[in-house]
Amino acid sequence: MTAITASPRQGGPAPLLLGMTLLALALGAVLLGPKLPLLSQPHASSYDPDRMVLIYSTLPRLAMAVLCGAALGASGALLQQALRNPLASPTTLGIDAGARLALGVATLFYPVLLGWGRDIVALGGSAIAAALVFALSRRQDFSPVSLILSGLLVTLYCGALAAALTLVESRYLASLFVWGSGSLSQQGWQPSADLALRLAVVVLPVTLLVRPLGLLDLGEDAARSLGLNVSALRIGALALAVLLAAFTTSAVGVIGFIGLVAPILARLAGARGFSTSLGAATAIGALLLLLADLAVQLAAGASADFLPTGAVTALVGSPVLLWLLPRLTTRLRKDAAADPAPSRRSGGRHSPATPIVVLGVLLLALAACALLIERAPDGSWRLLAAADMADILPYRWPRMLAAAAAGLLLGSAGFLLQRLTGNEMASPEILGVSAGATFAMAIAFFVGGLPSPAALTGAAAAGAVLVLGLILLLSRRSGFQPERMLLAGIALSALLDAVIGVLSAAGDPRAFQLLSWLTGAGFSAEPVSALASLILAGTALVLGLCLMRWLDLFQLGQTAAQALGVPLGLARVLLLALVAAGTAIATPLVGPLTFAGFIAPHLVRLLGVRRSGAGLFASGFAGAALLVAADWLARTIAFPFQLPTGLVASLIGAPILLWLLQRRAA
Amino acid sequence: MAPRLRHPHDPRNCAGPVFGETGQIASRLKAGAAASGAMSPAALHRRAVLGGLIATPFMLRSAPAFAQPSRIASLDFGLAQHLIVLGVPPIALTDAREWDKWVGEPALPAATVDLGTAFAPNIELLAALRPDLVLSTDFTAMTEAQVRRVAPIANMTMYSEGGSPLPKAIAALRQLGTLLGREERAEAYIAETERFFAACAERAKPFRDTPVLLLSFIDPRHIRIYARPGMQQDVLDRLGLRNAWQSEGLYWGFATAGIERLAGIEKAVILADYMPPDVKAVLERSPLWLSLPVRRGNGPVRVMPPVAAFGGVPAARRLASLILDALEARLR
Amino acid sequence: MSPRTIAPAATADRGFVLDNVRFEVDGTPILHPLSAAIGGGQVLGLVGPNGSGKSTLLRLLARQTSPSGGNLSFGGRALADWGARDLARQIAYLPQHPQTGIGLSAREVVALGRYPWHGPFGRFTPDDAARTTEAMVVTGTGQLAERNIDTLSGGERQRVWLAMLVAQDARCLLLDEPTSALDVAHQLEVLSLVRRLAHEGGRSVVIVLHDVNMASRFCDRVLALRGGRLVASEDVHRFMTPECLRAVYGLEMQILPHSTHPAGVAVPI
Repeated sequence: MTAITASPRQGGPAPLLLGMTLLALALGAVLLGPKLPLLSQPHASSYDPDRMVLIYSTLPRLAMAVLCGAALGASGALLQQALRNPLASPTTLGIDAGARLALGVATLFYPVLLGWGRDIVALGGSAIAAALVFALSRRQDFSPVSLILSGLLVTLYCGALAAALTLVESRYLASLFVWGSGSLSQQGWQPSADLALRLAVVVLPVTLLVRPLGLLDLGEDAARSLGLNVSALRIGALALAVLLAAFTTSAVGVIGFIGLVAPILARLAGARGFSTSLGAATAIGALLLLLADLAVQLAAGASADFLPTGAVTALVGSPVLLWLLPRLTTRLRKDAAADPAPSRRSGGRHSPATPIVVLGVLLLALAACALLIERAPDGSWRLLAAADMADILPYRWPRMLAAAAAGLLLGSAGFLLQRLTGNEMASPEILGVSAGATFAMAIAFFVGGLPSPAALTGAAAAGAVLVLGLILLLSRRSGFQPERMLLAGIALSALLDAVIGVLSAAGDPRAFQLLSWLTGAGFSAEPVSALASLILAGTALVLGLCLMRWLDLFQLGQTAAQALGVPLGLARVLLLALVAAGTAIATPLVGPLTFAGFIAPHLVRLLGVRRSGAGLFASGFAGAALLVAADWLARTIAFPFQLPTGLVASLIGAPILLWLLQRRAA
Repeated sequence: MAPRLRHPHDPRNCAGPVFGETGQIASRLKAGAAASGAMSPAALHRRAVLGGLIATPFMLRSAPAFAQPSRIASLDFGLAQHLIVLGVPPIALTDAREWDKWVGEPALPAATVDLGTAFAPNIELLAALRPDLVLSTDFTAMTEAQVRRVAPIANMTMYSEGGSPLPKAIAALRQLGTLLGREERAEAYIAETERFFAACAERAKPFRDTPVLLLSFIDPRHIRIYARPGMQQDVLDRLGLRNAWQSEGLYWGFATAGIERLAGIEKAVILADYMPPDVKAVLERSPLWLSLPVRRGNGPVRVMPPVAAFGGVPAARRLASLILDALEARLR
Repeated sequence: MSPRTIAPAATADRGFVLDNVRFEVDGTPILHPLSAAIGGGQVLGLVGPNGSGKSTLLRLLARQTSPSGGNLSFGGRALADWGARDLARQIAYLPQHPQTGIGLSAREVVALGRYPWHGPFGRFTPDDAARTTEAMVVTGTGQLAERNIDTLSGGERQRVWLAMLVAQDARCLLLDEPTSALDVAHQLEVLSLVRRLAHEGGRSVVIVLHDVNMASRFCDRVLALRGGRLVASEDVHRFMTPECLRAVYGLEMQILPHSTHPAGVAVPI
């Protein structure tokens, strides 16, 4: 954690803790001061509503804030220490999102879920999400950047699934929104007492792990040579961290970023050694959430708006992440460079054209299926009758074509980005460009009255371009370091999520509309726009092909590429601009979350395509095949429901990918 | 190919008076008729295929002429209610499967085809049904571009910024009547509604000093409180009843809050239009809930039968009856 | 090793001139102002203890980083003024840890060395192909051509990278500890190749070496750094003296004569 402790304050975290405590006391005095005399009133006047609110709402709420904050701070500290990763936290590793999705599913299909049942569901979701993140980043030896990128992917994936569920069961939307954005509102002491009990169970095992975890500061090998079973230790620490986070999520919902920021603040404040920083992170987490909630309560007193605390912490937390990134990336890069990349099986015994031909044929076959195999109005499967073609195909082929175009664009953009960054976890979804497009649409929704679809598409494109410009500007100083840009994209996505959380927690049904677009549910296309996007996709492929020589050289590593005369800055800008343009065109078509840009390049690599030119085409074809298949299934499997295309794409793509990765590992 | 009409009530000009003048409607009607005519030649084969499956009584009426739209699909529960009371029930409706759960009355014909979710209506299914007209609101404006390829759209938004929903709903009903050539039926229903509300206001007289709190439970900790300017508020106004919650809400007519926000309310009858299954048990153990003045004075929450929260004129009437039923039941 | 003679590189070499070149990170000097001339068709060893700034100096020469101050020129022009591909035709650089996990065949990697000559849009000509083949013959990597570079042994992989540098056809090779991961046999193999590339091909080689005896055996001149300062710039025979080595390593060493090391072998006392 050298980069973080580069300028630690002298004297440890005590001054910070003292300052935060004083501030909390001051805010608490403002909030509670006038009401405290109520506590000492005789029992006879206990029907005083102010007194009841104080005893059964305000005070338990503060207790809940302290408990949740402490649990999240400790969870983040455990994760950061066990993974030796300064960006690890329940939020960034998808643990929150997993619990949120699991509880969402449970709420929809089994509404009466109380007590430990809720905790077990939350725990299951968190554990599965965490396992998925580790499975994804294992191949890169859990390098910090790939771990965070996997975490973001899983978070986005879970978010999309949860959103799709709420679209089908619309009535529960409000409850999922409120719960997803972490409201600390309380009506009694039972929930905080329950949470305290659960946290108490975890305290003992955590204390047992403090000293062994401290040895990890020496490095994994040294710790092992001191007689530590590093893998077992890690698994234990991760399990405890997941427990802490899942209990919290189960009690109040998702409260983002406390688990990330508290341990970092602890170290910045000069906490040294794991036992100190764990204690400090726990205390800082508690105080942070307490402060945030006091501020929210004071603000809510002034206005009548409903403002969930979790959404507020995320809103504040994501800019903090942006601010921290420049201070963390040096270390992240170093680690990423030192990580030995996994050896690859020598592929490519066949001609480079073979996979392209195979994918092309697959694409055509899927397109034929998408056009011709349909569900009859009574739900049975059938072949489209020749007599109906003139009636039905005009609605079907533009959609299919637009899906193919979006797939081509995203697949090739993902390929370019993964080659450019040398990171297998990179994908256009997490570059922030999609988030920018969505952000602009959200603003159009909530600020600009009710926009027309054309205005929305325009807003999406403007947002994508704006974010791209911003990212380029921000990362110009670092020489357009790709990791830096990806991390900025993460922060942006998180900010977007937080804003949507705040806007929608108030229950505005327009949140629905945004959500439907987020999941790609409202996917449609008209003949002209479909053809236009196909032409644009073709153009992007040709432009990409022109830059292939550079991409080939990037495979040798950026140092070698530079030594061979590649103008690194220019090459990065051009390639990134191409990626962003492709994403900006594809995003309004199918929504921001298809994962085609993530999955397609992997498929291509697993097929053994090595040269960049062939890879670009193969990846584009794979993306197109994925989205065409997704479009077909989205229209047919849940007939008459049309599922979100992007979601179906990730649902069919992710298992294929995991299976392939597993096969390679074996 | 499909007509591409811009309806005069495009979402962009919805801020002013919601509904256009008769001239606009007439021109729209002509356009709609022309469009339907343009589609018809290639069409009826598929009709024949589907006929056996989705035939509905009013289908026959649609066959002879396209002068008046009669095969109508709706993307909105409230507008579907209007279609039903005008005697032209929708042939297709988004989220139709949820009607009984969230709307109840008037009953939706069983033959109504479910078009899927409101934000992703199944366009191919809609096209196969050959509607003459599709009703939409600003809430579903995002899907209008694709729906317009199948049939002309009439956007009749009842919940929008500025003004309260009930007058807009009445205007929408009147406009729909004109559009369908059922002006008399619309006017009759509106007149009947006025008489109904007058009678209800009479019925409500004994409860004038009993404030009413209309809620929808989100979860055990959070509620939606129906407030001005909403349909629920309009109904309370018509009945001459007082809403115990006096702050304004969103233009949809509700505010979201934690349950503790109810502490300031001294006296009110609490009526909920929805309560998730896990809420009741938690509430009745919650010390805060049990000690709220409004709960202490009035006993447990009364949960009403389903009534469309953002519905049309029939929903307003149903809500009025349900409120009065609940108040009268409480007296007994 | 292939017995074939090595063709002279295509470009003329007028070498590096360093004039008070310095480099610092966050105000901490890594290299103190340093003046020297480097070049001239020989093998120059960069030696010094850990953290002495050897690799930093080499990265400055390769323009992987730019100096914090002073003038650094190559071939009579400021190094910063060179176009990226023009420079790559003159200077080839092999980083200490070349990328792994590339997934290309050895021949494909070597062919990438032709980039400075054909550029992003130019055709890969038969001449490019011929030079690729020749580079592989010269470095004895011909039989590895179709193997995936990730499946090669360390020594084989290092020779493939050297072949890529040869295919690059640059006058000047900058090598950062090319033997650090190799066993003795492979070290000798790679360094012999480097020496032949310099002496038979008329290239200049600047090579960072850890092992002073390897420098003694394969280098013509030695440039020694300590604590970011230049402490010796000598002919290898004059460098291999107890006084010089003491100045560099702060250690008493004895120089023993040796048949394969004309400048002798250093042994700590």
